[in-house]
Amino acid sequence: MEKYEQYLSDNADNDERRAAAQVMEGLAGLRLEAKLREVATEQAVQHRRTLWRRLLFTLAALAFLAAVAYWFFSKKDARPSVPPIEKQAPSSPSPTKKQTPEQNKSEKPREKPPIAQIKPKEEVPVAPDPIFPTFAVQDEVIPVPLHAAPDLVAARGQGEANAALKALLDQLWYVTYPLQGLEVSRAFSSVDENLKKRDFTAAYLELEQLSSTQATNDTLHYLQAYCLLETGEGQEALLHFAQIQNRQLARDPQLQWYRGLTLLLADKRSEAIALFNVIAANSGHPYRRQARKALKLLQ
Amino acid sequence: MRITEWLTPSNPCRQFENNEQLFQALKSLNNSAIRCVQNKAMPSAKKLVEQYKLAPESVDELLNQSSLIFLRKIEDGSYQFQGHAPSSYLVEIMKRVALSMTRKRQTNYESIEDHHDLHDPDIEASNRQRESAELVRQFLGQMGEPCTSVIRLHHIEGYPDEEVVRQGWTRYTTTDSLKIKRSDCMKKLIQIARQWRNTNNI
Repeated sequence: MEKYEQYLSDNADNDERRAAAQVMEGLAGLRLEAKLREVATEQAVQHRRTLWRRLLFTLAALAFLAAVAYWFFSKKDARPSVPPIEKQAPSSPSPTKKQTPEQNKSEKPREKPPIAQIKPKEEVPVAPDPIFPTFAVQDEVIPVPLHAAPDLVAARGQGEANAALKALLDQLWYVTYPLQGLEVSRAFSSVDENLKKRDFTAAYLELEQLSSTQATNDTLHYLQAYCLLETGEGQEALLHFAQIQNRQLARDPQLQWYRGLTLLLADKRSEAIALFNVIAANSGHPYRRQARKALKLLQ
Repeated sequence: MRITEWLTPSNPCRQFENNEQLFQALKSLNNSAIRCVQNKAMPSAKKLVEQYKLAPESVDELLNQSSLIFLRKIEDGSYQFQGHAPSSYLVEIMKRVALSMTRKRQTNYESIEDHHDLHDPDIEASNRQRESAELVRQFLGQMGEPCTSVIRLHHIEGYPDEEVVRQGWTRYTTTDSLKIKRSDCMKKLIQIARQWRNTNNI
């Protein structure tokens, strides 16, 4: 800071000196005021910054808590839909991704074969779910069946067993048309139309006529079995399924599931359970979740 | 950086190891040093406002006015470092300023007689400086550019001539030409002040 004397003229009188002193005093005051204003601004900026940081931290903490709560409750909600049979089934393949580190630790390390002996794994094609293709990724969540089971009470008469079986089948009646793995030829076009309209009696009558006029084949047996299944005639449906037992068509996943339901209809519970176990154990089977549900209900 | 540090305002006192360092920084009007003593004195300012029954919003005014006196006393050398915390001296000034503010607020002159320090030289000097500052502000306004900027940059904002030239804040491209112009402007400013004093018989 320059001294005010240097601004004074050579012959400066007292008045001029006092005026210069007052100017310098005023400038010093302005400088201090400006400095304090600057400090106050700096302080305010820092307070504002701290306030924003706290706000940001609070929001982040709330978002984290919301995420944890969502994860916790969604996990809690999903738990009842996991059928206990899956946990018990020894043959059911367990998804390795879901294993916890503790589980991994408890498992003994497998002996690794020499690299030369390792063969590339064959990719098991996972067939799309014909009933609920969008549910393929959601492991255990399956909706209720689209249609109810046939009215067994009307067909077989009053009785607790029939009512109970009807109630059980209502929960498992994942039965739809058209049939997978079956190419319906022109000869069956009318039957096909009736089945699409769910007129099973008309369809069955036409099939009966067709069986008398042409040689029986797998398609005819499967369609007849299906019609009988939908009308609650388990025993008769099984006879038609038996006709195609050793054919290629018998390996169709949908047919397997329908045969399982037919076994239940025919009161062949243990055979049905055995078949459902096979289906449930096959991780690529499109009806594995339905089979698990069936096993859970049959316990 | 720990989260607690990130969430709290930084402590401006951290960079000063002792009171002497803080005092030296205050002498050069270091912003952190000023914030440090103000932060330390703030709780006392709040207490004084309560104690003297001043309006709650006058805390900032009390701290600001006291800081002005405090810094002026450091600048003119009337406050020398003697080993004590500079903030304790600021608190002492605050007590006197708070008392003065109470006096100003009171309209009953009889009650003023109860106070011992009717005339506080520091506060009177501060008031005088404030009046001079206001006058100089007016005079600078009368002078216009470039004198206002040339004087403001050096005498009020404290920028070195080299930086003023480097940044191109004025039309002067060398420090010498800037100094010559400032000297010329200061002479004019003093003449304006002299005229004003003569007009007002001061």
